[in-house]
Amino acid sequence: MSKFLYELRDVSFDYQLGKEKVHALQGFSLDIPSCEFVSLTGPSGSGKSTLLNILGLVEPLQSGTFLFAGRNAVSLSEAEKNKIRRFEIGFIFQSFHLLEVLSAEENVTYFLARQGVPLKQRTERAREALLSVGLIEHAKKKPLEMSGGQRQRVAVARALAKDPKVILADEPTANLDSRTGRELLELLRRLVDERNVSIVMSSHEPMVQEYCSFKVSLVDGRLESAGPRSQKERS
Amino acid sequence: MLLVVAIRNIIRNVRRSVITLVTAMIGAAALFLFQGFNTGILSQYRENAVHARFGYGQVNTKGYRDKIMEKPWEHWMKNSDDLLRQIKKLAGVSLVFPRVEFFSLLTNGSLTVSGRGVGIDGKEEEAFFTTMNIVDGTPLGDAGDGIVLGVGLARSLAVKPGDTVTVLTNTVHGSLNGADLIVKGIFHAGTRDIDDVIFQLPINQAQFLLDTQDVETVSLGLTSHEVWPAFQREFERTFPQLEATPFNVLDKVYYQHAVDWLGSQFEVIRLIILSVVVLGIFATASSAILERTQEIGMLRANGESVSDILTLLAYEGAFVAFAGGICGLLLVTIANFTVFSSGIPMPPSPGITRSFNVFLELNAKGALSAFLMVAVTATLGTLFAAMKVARMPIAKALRHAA
Repeated sequence: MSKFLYELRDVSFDYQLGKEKVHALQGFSLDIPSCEFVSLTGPSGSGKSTLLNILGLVEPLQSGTFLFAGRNAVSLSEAEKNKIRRFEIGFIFQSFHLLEVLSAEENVTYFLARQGVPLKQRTERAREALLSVGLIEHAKKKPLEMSGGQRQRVAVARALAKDPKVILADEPTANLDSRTGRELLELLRRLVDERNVSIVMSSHEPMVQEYCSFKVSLVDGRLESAGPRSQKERS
Repeated sequence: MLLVVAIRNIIRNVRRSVITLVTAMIGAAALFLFQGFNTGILSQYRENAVHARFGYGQVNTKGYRDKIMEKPWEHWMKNSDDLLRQIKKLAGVSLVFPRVEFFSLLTNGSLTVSGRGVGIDGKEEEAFFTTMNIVDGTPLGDAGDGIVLGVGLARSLAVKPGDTVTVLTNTVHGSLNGADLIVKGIFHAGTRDIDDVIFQLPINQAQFLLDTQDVETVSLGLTSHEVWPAFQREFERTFPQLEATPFNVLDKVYYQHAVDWLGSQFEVIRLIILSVVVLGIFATASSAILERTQEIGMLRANGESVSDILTLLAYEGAFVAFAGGICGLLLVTIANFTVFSSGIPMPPSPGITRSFNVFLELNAKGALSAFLMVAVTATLGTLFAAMKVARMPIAKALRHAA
């Protein structure tokens, strides 16, 4: 079993914008270890979101090779990708993307139900996840009855309850005020430390560096640097 | 869980759901109404054909209708009393009416016109042939020397009830024979082919004029038109030398052609209604689903397949379509008991000279067919609308502007 969660070799990705081809990722290699809080940093247009989409199997790789938990992700069928996304990857989005017709608890149990988890067990797991993000008392509230920070914590609980290998978070603090953003980062750090889950997060926020243990810097679709951050660097 | 989300999504945007529901309701109501209207018209045509002229069918010697051109009376049925008793014993047969038909001249003394006489058992037929539409006088009844004329024939002869008409014809042996008959009544069938030509007289008078005791035709009164196939099978086994022809074959020009014509018209109108339903629901669902592109992207990112998404959206479409379909059926049923309770007045149809009222005939088969067609069409409309978003690349769906 590889110690790396992700192993990318010579990965490239181009967008077609009208007649112009945009080189979002320009042939770099990268290993991302398991059970780390990984930050993807870089200016806008550096390729952070594209890389996150590739890591989440929502964007197909155009060239290069890519292993996810030791499996060749390039050769996976659509059904296999769906299964991996359902069971092994959790997502946290910038604008939360909760199902507004469901309560906080139902937003969590929905995906457990889709995993085939029995009713009693999924209720327990959802409540446990909501407890760990400090929202158990808001379990019956609908997303529109909650603040932005609370909604994002529901999204964290949703991702966490799936018991995934990795949680991918795309600018999760962008729509939150700095205090709420910091609370969220503290929560994510705690999850990595206590539950051995891996988190890969793209962000512009400088404060993210205080919490992450592995940093990947991208500039213009190229890998600028990648490596662990010591406790000293973080503080 | 998909069902729960689907049901809650329906009430998420009430205005759109109501538009979809009303589209499905109008579609189901239109189909059910038109189906009921068509069935009502066809029933009226059928009742008219059966109870004005033919009965549910007629019995003749085998091949008589198609092959016998010369001296038809040589092929008429003998021992008619025995035959009638045996036919009446068959399952589904409630009444039998012996008849003979012949061409003749009718005169009132100064005017002479040609006509086609039908010898009938007036007393027996009076209770069954109820749509003869006597416009003056009375039906033939048991009057031994009576005659009932079509309205056009009576006009040509310038006679009215109580007047005497002389009927002249050749006997089966070729000699001329005649009888003076008293006009009992005048009927208006609504069809010039009948009203200008046909007259009825007692069968024994007709047999006297033709100098025969044989019967040309036996018209049949059945318990219902639906028993015909079973009756025909038993009849063919019992009477291999005879043949029974149903009323829709006997009245091919008016009844069967009307059935075929209305059936084709219904197919076209049904296609139009269903196209309107599918397009209406497609338009409404398209904008509703487009607004949910990011949500669908999130669901797909979390492992839902394209078919999972289509299933979820199909549930939503189907629930609303089912509700709309039921509302449509209820609407027509209520209308049938209220605004349409006296029937729908119709002008004379092709070949008919009198107007009539059509009563909607709503039945479970028609309701089920209208409901299913609209439910399936509306669900398809939703699926067509969902196809594009469900198949959109996940990253593109997530980036979609809300």
